[in-house]
Amino acid sequence: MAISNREKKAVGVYVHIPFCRKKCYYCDFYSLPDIEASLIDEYCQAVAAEIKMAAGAMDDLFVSTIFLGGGTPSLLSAGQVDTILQQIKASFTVSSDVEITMEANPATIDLPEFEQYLTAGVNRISLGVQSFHDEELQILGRIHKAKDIFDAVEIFHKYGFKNFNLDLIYAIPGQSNKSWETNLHKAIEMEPAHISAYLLQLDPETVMGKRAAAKLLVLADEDTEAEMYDRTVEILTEANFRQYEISNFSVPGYECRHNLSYWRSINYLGFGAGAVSFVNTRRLINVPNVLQYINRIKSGKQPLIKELENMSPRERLADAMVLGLRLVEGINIEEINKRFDADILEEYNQAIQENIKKGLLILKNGQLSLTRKGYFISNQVLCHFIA
Amino acid sequence: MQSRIRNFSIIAHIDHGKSTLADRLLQFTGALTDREMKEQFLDKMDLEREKGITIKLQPVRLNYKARDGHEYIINLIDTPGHVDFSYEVSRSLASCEGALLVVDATQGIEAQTLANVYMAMDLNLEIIGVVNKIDLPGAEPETVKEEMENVLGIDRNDIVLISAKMGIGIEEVLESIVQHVPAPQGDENGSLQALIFDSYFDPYKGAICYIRVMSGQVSKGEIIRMMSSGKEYEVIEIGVFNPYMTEVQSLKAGEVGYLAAGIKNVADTKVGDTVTSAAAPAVTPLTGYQEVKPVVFCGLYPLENNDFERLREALEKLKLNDASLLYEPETSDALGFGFRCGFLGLLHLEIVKERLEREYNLSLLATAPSVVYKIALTDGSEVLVQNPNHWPSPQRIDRVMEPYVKAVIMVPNDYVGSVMELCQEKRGQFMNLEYLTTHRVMVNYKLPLSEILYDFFDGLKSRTKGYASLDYEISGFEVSDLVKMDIMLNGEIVDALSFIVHKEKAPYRARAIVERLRKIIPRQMYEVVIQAGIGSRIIARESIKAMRKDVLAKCYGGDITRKKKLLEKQKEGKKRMKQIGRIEVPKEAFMSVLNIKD
Repeated sequence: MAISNREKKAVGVYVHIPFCRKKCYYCDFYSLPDIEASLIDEYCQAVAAEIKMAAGAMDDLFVSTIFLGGGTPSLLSAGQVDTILQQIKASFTVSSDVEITMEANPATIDLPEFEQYLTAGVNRISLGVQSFHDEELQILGRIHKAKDIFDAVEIFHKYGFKNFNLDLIYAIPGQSNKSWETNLHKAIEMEPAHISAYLLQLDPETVMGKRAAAKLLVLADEDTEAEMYDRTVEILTEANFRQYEISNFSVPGYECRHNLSYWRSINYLGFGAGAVSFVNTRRLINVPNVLQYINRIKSGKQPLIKELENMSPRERLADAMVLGLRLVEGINIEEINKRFDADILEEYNQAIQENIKKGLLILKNGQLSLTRKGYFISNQVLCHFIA
Repeated sequence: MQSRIRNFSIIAHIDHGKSTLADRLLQFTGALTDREMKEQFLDKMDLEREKGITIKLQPVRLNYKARDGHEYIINLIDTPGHVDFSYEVSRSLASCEGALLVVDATQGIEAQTLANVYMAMDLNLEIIGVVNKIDLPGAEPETVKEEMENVLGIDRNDIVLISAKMGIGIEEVLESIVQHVPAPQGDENGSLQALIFDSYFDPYKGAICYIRVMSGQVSKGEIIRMMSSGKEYEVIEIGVFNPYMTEVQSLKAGEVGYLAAGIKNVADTKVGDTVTSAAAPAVTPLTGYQEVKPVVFCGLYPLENNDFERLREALEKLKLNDASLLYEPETSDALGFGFRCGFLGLLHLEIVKERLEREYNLSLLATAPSVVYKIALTDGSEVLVQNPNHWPSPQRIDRVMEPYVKAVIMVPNDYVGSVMELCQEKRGQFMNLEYLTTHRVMVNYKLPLSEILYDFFDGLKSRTKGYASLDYEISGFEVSDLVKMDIMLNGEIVDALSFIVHKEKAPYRARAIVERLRKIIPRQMYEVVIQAGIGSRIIARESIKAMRKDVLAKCYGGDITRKKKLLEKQKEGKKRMKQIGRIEVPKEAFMSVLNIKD
């Protein structure tokens, strides 16, 4: 029996494109630099095949957001993007107002291709800007220069394309407060719908992580980092962006719906090598190796290799708390209690009261949320809620 | 038959090869197959194996067919070498007729060699000299033999040369034991007298007593009486260690083994007590042991306040297996309810804390260790203070006395200068200096015990390239210029961090500890001011700025699991912190006074 769309549950789809021209020095995602075009094409075919395999099991779901992440998805041709998106539409019920985001590197955007991405269905671009200073981009190991950013954004404007995000990084080694503020102002001038501003946090296994450990890089101190964050919130708020998560700001109505669904504990399906899926209680990861992934798909095998976690009801609640509190709106007490058959004010009474007393949490109108003071030291709060 | 029994302990300075020799004796006599054999077999505790030291005495029974054609039962007790555990050695020796003295052929006689030999001599034990490690390149067995003859009076012709590691000379050791260690002389038909020389708590069988039967015999099913308390029990199990615990029907005079009698109340078995028969009791108990006096004290507190009762039970049970441990309840404003515990030294403290944490699954916090001070008050009375928080107010104090030790340091003569320099720095008084051989010297000093406890041994090792060895015994109290130092966090004295210090060293110590705390205590939600003061006078100050960043900048679908693990780790980290007022203080902070180098 067919299930009507109203009863179906929303789900996000994430597609991992693990290719880039060159690995950035701070990147800890699975990605292969400088891969020949034929392998990329083979990979896209495999992803489409994986999506096709998943089709049957998804009758009670509808796709409300799609996110092509990487790596550098803009290395894909419009045709390859189209193949993947068409397969998603063929396999699942896709909402008519689906948000389709593609991550892009400023150095890889050109005019005819961009137009075809839009034709293929992409309606949101997340541009990896990071900085408008070439020397900072160099420290990060980015392939693009400041000029590439202006060129890319010019193309967006030429098409009247509004729904784009600029990713920025602050506390880059050597970066002054002033340099960071300049980056923010330049970003604002480009009139994006969305800005993500991330504190540089290095995994020890990355190039920059190793350089920092060897004292070849001098990282910003805690006070500088905090000052930069404070200025970020001030400057973006003044420019009429609304903060909706610890590191995310948007023109009202242009929040990234796909990312919101992570923080609201909505299920997501990951396709591609190294992609993670979240289904009810479990998080699962696909084999994080392009060749093995392709081989598995070709021989008709599931590419899922590992269950990262399988949560008890209590852990599931903790998960929702930890993610939900990242949002400025916080958690709706009534909704979460109903959803997890819990009484969080009772269950986390001590943690909530203590953190309210410390001025890090606020309970207002049935919403529990971090205070402005709490955002940048949120781990102090969140670790109390972890199961 | 007692004439075919030999009881002996192995004694030696640390690392001279006791436990390896024990391993070889077990193998040679077939007590263990090669498959069962592992290094340091008799060191049962993980802690012993990890640290490579023996903490507990351990008896084992060997069967040996000697060259004279007879089968002998040989009871061996392996003992620790470190000075903190000498009580284990003395109890083992009291259960034996002989002692095997092991000396390293590359090191010669060292401080604990001497201390252990004196202990064996006091008990009139037959001492068999063994020179070990003769296979090593630097071995000088003849020189070491000479030292042993000159210093210890052991006939060089009776000394056995061995390499326990290579299995050389093992049979000669066994033959020497059979020939020289006297057989036990107790009356098998007399009334039962068995010495409890060790015990431990088994959750199923109750207290297990390690015994040496001195006279009479004890059998399964018999009613026994503990002579100190008069309490009676039925023996439910009796056995020997060969090397695993193996049940037997009875133990006779001269034998070493264990008994279990369903003793649930830990306090009813006391090491040194005499077990006798309820039906035909002995008239007098055996001499037993002298109570040991702890020399260093600290507070042990459960990190979780409601673990206090579990800590009490754990201490009761551990006490059974560690007769030298003393404890009594105390309270701290900062830490709540805990116990003041007495130890034989800092290694002992560390081992007890670790055993409590591991064997009883507790998380503990130890306060700064202190020795016992004797304080003469202006009203003419005297008090003993082993907790800095009981220090009287300065106007009530007439004079303060602190415990001193007689320290014996053995060292090659090239290093005598460095050793004396160190001793002077540590407020030592030179006594005398003796040449053991032309190039080995015994330096005698009187030193404050508190100075020896901290980093003295490390200093000694580093200044003599590891060649010096140290032994000491308490000599008495001497007047000293001491003050109590308080540590304050945001203006509040943290009683658990107070310590006693010599006045001259106070400013340096104050600065060092405040600086150290600044490094150990993580940034908090608020600024934290750390101060050190004597009375109302602040002599050092540091501050820790308020925390400004503790955030996961990114948290998206692909790495939520990983990011949650970081939060979990952080939550675990909080468990290792003690909340003092509004400040979270890591456990290590309380021991940090120890790690200050002068």
